[in-house]
Amino acid sequence: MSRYLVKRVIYMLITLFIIAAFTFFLMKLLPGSPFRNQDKLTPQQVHALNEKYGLNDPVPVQFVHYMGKLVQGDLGLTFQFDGRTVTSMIKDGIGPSATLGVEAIIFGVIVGLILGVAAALKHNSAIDYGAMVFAVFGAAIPSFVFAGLLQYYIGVKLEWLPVAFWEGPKYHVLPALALSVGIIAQIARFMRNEMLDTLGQDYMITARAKGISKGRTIFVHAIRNSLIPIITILGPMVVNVITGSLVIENIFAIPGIGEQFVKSINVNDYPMIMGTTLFYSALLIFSMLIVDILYGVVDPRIRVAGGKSK
Amino acid sequence: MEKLLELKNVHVSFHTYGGEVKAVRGVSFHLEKGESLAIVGESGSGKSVTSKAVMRLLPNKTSEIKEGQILFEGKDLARLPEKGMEKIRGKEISMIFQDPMTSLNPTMTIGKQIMEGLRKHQNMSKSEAQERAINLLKLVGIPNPEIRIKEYPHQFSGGMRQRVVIAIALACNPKVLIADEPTTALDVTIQAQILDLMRDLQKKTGTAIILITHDLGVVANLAQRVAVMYGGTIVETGTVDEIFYNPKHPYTWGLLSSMPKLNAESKELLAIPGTPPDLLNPPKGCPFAARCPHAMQVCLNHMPESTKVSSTHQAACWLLDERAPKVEPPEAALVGGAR
Amino acid sequence: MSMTEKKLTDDMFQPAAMDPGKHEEITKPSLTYWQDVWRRLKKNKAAITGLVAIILIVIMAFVGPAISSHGFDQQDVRRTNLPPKIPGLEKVHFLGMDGVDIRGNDQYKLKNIPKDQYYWFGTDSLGRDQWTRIWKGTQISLLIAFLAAAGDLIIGVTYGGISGFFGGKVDNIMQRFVEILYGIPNLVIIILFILIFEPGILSITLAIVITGWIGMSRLVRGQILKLKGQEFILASRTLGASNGRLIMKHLVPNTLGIVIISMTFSIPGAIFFEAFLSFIGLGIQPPTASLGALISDGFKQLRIYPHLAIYPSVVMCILMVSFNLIGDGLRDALDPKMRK
Repeated sequence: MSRYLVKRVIYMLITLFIIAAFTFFLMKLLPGSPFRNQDKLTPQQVHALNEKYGLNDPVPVQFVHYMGKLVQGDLGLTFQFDGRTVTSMIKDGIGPSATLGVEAIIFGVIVGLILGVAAALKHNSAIDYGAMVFAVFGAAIPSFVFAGLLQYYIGVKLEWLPVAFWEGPKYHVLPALALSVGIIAQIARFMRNEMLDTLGQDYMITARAKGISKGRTIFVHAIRNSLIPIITILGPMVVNVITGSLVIENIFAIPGIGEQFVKSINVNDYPMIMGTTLFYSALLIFSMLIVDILYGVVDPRIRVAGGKSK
Repeated sequence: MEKLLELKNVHVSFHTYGGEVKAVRGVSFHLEKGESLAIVGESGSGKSVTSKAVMRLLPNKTSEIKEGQILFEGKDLARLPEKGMEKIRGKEISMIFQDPMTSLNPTMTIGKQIMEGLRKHQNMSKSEAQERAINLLKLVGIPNPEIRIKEYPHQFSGGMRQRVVIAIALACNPKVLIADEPTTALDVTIQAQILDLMRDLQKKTGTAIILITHDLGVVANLAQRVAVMYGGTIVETGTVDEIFYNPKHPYTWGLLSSMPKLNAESKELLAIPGTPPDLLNPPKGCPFAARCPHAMQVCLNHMPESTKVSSTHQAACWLLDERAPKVEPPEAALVGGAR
Repeated sequence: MSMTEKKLTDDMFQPAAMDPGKHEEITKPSLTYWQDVWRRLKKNKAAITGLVAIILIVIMAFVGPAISSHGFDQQDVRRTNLPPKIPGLEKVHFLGMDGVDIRGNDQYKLKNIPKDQYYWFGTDSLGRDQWTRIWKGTQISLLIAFLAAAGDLIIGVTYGGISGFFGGKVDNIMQRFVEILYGIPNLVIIILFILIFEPGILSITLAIVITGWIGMSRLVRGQILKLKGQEFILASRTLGASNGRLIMKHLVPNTLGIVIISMTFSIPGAIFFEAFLSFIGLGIQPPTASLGALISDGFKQLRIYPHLAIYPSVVMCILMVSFNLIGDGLRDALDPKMRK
């Protein structure tokens, strides 16, 4: 297991390095000037600015310089605000983004699991069909459409909850709900199929033949065994949540990383785009690693064999 | 001998999209204390369904015990509520299944799976249950039980897993053990070991065994009495000797003929032509009539009654009627099995 | 008992003529694999509904702009932000098709629009006809989606096929490359790609393909590796089948199913990513519109002119759900064992 882990971490670092390098050189090819109102600046001022941000050095030098700082966690200065570092911008945004993401995931996973288990236990009943219709729609329709619907009907028309901004628990409900619909759908569907599969397994009959109550066989044997494969979709789920949050944060004007990222794309803030991209990549790759490790910990077949068997 | 378990005219049906499948149609037999009874038949004959009906392990929604009684020590299991059934399963009657590869929970240690039933039925503390589990593993011949108890099913070989399944079944000293094709999924060499183990354990514990199998070799090895099932009915019952040396039903003849024999002159394996009847639409008469080489007009429209051959031997066949022509069992069946 | 006894006569104990082969006769006509798939798919109401919905939308995407008298980029500042108004339906007020905005003002009257002028889905902030723009946008979104799916298909099947078929060293090298690519989140790749190349139909399609083909190639490789290990391939080899025959007769037909399923799912995926890019400001640039761009623009004025966001959203949702329904239906039809 530990050898496998070391290998995975090395792979992760290589991937991150490639992304960093890729991002850096791509940014150099980008059209558009990084400075606001460049037309109004004199060539001397532009030169001075370039000097300040190290944009006059040859590209490879800039790259080494950038990588050196990157290792220390320094992502450079943002172009949007004088003297602010990208790291501090990300730090500011991480609170709302992480809160929103975690709320959506917790809510989505819990509701999804309940729905999936209920659908499987009441196979071919109204509950089952209802849950599966919801799952098809919830998984197919993008979260930003739900965000718009919720915003318009619950925020604007009914005025039950605030339409936008991030100023208290009340403000969390709509964006978290919009973000969790996809998760609920995905988990419910997956859990239902896993449960149906597990319920049909021979060992479920063995368990009942031991005289164990139906409730206990469902909780101890069926749900536990069905939960293990769920871990495999946690990785893609995190990706979905992050993708969705980019848009959701903009729709609800939440001051998170997603909103900053979109803003920085629109104003060509190179260091900010790079920083955020790297941050997202690291986050995604890291969560994939966690998921893999988690899978090994939970499933004894993999844990003892000491490797991934896919 | 007293009757421990008795089935009286049991009918089991499955409700499918195509209609009602009458999988078991009026099965009656009994099991005495400490004896072993084999139920023999090909796949689809209803033998597994019968055994699952005794355990009430058939799916609630799609199946139904239509009529009949399953009497265990005087209690009718067919009408017992689920809660009452939970006290019988594992404690009084337990079951082992065909495929040891799939009948154990892959994410639970062997120990926990053995202890689950003990803790439920015998109110044992954790340490007591663990001690009993180790003893059980020792009993079924698993070396180093103290260590292996903490291992998972995938760390055991097929034969070892079946030993674990047997240990689970015997955990609470049940009065009846139903073994549903216990050796079918195993290698031939392991099969013999498991059968030896079961015979041994029966001697030690006095548990009555219902052995469900399609393999007459296994029957000869383990059983004292045999019930032959076909098309959801029992066509012949008798002691092992009676079934092997004096079979009366043409289906039993077919079964015996199709057994490979070492001393047979013909190198050819004899098969019974045709397929079992469609139980969605069971034939009005004898279920075997369509495949029977001696079928008569009466067989097609009238179900034969069970006829006594001796006090322990019965067969349901029109050939036993005095009006029927005398038919001798075929040569191949007369060789009398592998004994 | 006695009753039945009476009915039994001696002649009934004569041997019966039996035809042993009779009850083994196969009465149903045999179907080819694809006939069987189609038969199963036809039974799946959800999938057929999806199929019909998609066909209707595709037809509308081409016919829609033609039956409207307004061009998709025809601006008219005097007729901005008109609510929808449809002849006939305008009488039924709760449908919201009567030209009255959410504050209850009849915008058509206020802006002095002739009585016979209708904007079925209203107009946007530049006075362009939303009906025409939505169907034009559907065209663009579908174009991107189908191009992307085709790209996934070509690259994915080729790469995965070669990797799986040749195996060994070739496979090893090809898979290391995929592993690294796979490790990079596709979100990141797509955004970076669009940043370098100006957003346009082609660049957006390419950006989606650049990450999309990996999934397809892994599926194809996996399937081919699995097939290669099976007995019927070995049997075919032993009988002297050439590589070409092996590929055409065994590998392609047995891989086609998962390829088709994967494609039906990559289409809505592409529609989603196109819309997503519009939302983060990297989508199709005006005056061209896609569904995503229309929805994204509409959201900016959701509170005042909800019709601008709602209609394109509805079209997109129907498309996404329909493709998913077909995908699910196909999966069930192609692989009945997977069916739950």
